[in-house]
Amino acid sequence: MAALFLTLLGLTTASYSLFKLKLGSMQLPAAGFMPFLASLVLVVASFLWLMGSLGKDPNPQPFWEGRAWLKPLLAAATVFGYAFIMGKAGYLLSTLLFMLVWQFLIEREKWLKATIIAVVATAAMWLLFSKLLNVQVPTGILPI
Amino acid sequence: MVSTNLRGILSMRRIRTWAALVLSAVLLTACGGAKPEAKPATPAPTQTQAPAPAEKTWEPTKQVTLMVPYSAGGSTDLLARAIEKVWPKYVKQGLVVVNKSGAGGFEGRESVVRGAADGYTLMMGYGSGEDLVVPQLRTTNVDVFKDLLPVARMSVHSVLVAVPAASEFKSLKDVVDWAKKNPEKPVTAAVATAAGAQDIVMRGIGKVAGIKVTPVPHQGGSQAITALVGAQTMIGGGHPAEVMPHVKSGRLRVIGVALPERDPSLPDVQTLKEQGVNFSTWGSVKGIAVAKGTAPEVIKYYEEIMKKIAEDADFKKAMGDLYQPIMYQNAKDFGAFMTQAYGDYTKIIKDLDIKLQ
Amino acid sequence: MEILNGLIEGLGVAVAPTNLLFAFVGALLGTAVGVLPGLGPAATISLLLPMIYKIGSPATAVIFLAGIYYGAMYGGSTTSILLNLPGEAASVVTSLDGYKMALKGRAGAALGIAAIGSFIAGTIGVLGLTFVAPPLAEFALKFGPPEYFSLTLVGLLLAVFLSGSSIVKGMITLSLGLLFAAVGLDPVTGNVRFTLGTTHLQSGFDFVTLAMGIFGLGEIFYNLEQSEAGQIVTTKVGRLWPTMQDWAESKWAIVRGSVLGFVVGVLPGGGAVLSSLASYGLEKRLSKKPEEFGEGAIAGVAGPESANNAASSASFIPLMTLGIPANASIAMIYAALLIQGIQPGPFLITEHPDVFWGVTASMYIGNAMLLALNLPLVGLWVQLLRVPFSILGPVVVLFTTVGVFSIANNVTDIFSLLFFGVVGYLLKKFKFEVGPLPMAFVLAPMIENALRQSLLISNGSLSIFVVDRPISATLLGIFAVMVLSQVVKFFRTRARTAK
Repeated sequence: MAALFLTLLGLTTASYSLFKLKLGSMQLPAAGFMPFLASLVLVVASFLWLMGSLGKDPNPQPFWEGRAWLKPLLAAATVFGYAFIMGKAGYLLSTLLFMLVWQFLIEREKWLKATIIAVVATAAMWLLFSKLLNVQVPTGILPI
Repeated sequence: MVSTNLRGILSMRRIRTWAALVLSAVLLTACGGAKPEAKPATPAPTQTQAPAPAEKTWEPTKQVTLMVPYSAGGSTDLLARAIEKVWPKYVKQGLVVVNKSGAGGFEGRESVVRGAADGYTLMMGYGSGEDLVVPQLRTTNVDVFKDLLPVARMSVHSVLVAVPAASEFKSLKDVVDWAKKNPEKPVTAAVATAAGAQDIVMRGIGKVAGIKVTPVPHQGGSQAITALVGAQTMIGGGHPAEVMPHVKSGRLRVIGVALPERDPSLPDVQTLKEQGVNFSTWGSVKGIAVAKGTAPEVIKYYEEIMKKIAEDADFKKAMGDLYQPIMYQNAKDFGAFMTQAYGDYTKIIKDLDIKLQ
Repeated sequence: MEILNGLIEGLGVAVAPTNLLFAFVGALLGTAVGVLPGLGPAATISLLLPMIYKIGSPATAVIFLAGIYYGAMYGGSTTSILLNLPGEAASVVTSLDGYKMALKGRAGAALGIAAIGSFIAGTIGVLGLTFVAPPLAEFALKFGPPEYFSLTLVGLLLAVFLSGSSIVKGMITLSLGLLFAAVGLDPVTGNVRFTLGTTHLQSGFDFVTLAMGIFGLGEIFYNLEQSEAGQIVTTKVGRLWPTMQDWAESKWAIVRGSVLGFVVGVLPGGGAVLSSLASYGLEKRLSKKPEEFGEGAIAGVAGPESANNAASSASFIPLMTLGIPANASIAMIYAALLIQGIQPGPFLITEHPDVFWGVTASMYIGNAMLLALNLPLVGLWVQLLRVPFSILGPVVVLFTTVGVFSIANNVTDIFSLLFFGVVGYLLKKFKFEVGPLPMAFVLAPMIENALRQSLLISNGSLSIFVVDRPISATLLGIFAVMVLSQVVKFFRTRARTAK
């Protein structure tokens, strides 16, 4: 099924390169040249993959065992939220929240242990990057 | 560090003690060492102004970034480094040069335009082909006159036409003659970026002399000259700063300069016009700009700093070593010059019917 | 002999106390920079340039900057092996087998062999710099767009071969990498591609974001899923040093990698990346146990690591002998020299022998220092793996987010990081090898530029790739041979299973 998705993706990019970006000519290859070639490779390869997997058992193993997809999803969501509030709340606060959420929700740590880990990690990160290395980190609500 | 702290995790008591220690340390450093938000200060008026309490002045209170939208080693980058060298004499805060090449000079420009207009990011290279030529050939995502404000002009880099030392061409006339004898073979010319100052010169030569010239763009002056030294193309365009070192080492030969009159730092090089190709351009104007929305007092501050730098003896020596003429203009004059140069290029583009690929 | 004289004079310069100090500090700083994601040697050198002007002696300045440069190569491999976070394109290949070794508890051996291999490579590199610099530089000049095209083509093919068993899957990943690289502005004309109308995507994706996302986040997401499903991921810590057997397996890989890296590294543009790829491909070819590659073959770490270190020594050659900078970091050093009134080029040896020989000799000393520095540190780094994944995982995420953020001071980049993390996760889930993707991403602009420039120069004729260009023709020949051998192999296994 994924192969189908990839084939479609390849076709879309191929047509985009072809029409919108123009292939140009051999003398003067234009912006669409390379992406078109790349899309072609993608389409052909995806198709081959599709063909290859048709003959096999369609459901050898469940794709996800039980609720295995939950943790990665939560992790992704946490990172998403992290990026989102970082712009508004500043590095320190959002990192703290991030670690807290991660430890609590994902690793199922106890409240106290989670908080301590979160604080130590945030402090270490902040000290390392902001103070020691002078990397610009976003500041938000807090003055630091 | 992190790992040694966390290894004690196994004991809760250990954790608590550590946490308390670390927390207090953090709080102490946070309170004690909190950096104040950078605000434009209003010190007493500087010496170059008449005392006018109503007029605002400004000074940077943290490091300033000078953004070069090309890769390191090219003429614009070298100019930035020369500025960087003498900067500490005039400004307490440090200057850091950042190279952000890509998309023919537009990535760097974009990052300046999209960044904060707080006076801490300067752009080097305002007035190059991307500003004066490309917008006339296609829509760009940076509006040269609306999104960027001129601060000062530092130099103008003429465009030299050069050939590899082993080439059969000893002058521009040789090139034209050869091309006329071989009309189906275009003259390949290495140029720094597509639709940059050198690209225009090459196309101009082609149109005016009636020969077919194919400019081959690279990722900047440094790469283009490397290609030329390796004789990958027949001729090439470059700025003196990039070309002259190789002329000195005997790898390149200059056969013309695209100026109305001879370049004063290269009195032996004939202009294109003298060789029968009546074409000249401004070359690449190298100035400093800031994002739109930057306060006027910020611009005034930098304008004056740049003036001091332009008159600095060390800077003059460095620029001399780099074969770059110092041609300072303040913000207002520079702005007017940009408009004029833009118009000149419009005329060239129209006359020569130059189009992008 | 004149060269020997020069070298002795250079050693004299290199062991001057100031220069020793600067070499050490530079190497140390470089290693630190290499370990941290996002901050590359080029950016660091750029930051430190104003300081350089105050040093006074140009030889010292270059010794310092050079130290940072090759120090960064050492550091980059550390995170690749331990955390599967290649900070630079040249370290991606190391992470393939290196990280697998770490997962098997052999992180110490991997780090150790990387350090030793890099040292030997650095030494060979310096010898090369001393004796064959000028002819090699001439060779580098002959590389024009057609040669780069053929070379990168071979490189892309090698990248597909990194994909273990399934060539088809490898090609999919490869093409994805090429397409990701196409997002943003077209490198030749500046036209906008694939940006879906947003301004954020107009500058395209940064390699660090892609690598951190796919390797870092992707791995973490995958681990999270696996641990939930009942498989606990523990990183055991085994022996700290490479065994005698490791050494036996790697020693020729190191030598081959060094030589290959040195030759390929001279080429401006993609020297280190291509050399590590080539070394990996070569070792896999020559190995008696090719199936180990991708699962933790030590030769797969030793070879590429040596290659990229030799390449970094070699990248000084075009600078010193021709005055042509090979990559961004070298270009900074070039600028530093010019600003001090020194013209790198053919006259450098005669006009400023102290700079040339001093830097060369100092590289040898610097490499020795790095070895002395890094070997003991291996023990320390390996302890990092003892940290439980529940803490190390999110900390790595934090690490990568700061690294990514520091590229453009843009929080939106973190979203891109997440996007690549998901991509990496999905790729792992579908049992793809992720190696070819970042490789293709890095090689794509090179090959595109090379292709378009070549066609411009040849006025559309494809013959430019072969006619009058022995190097390009040879490379294309190698390409053809590689493809053919794969096809033959395919049909042979088909025939065998059909029996």
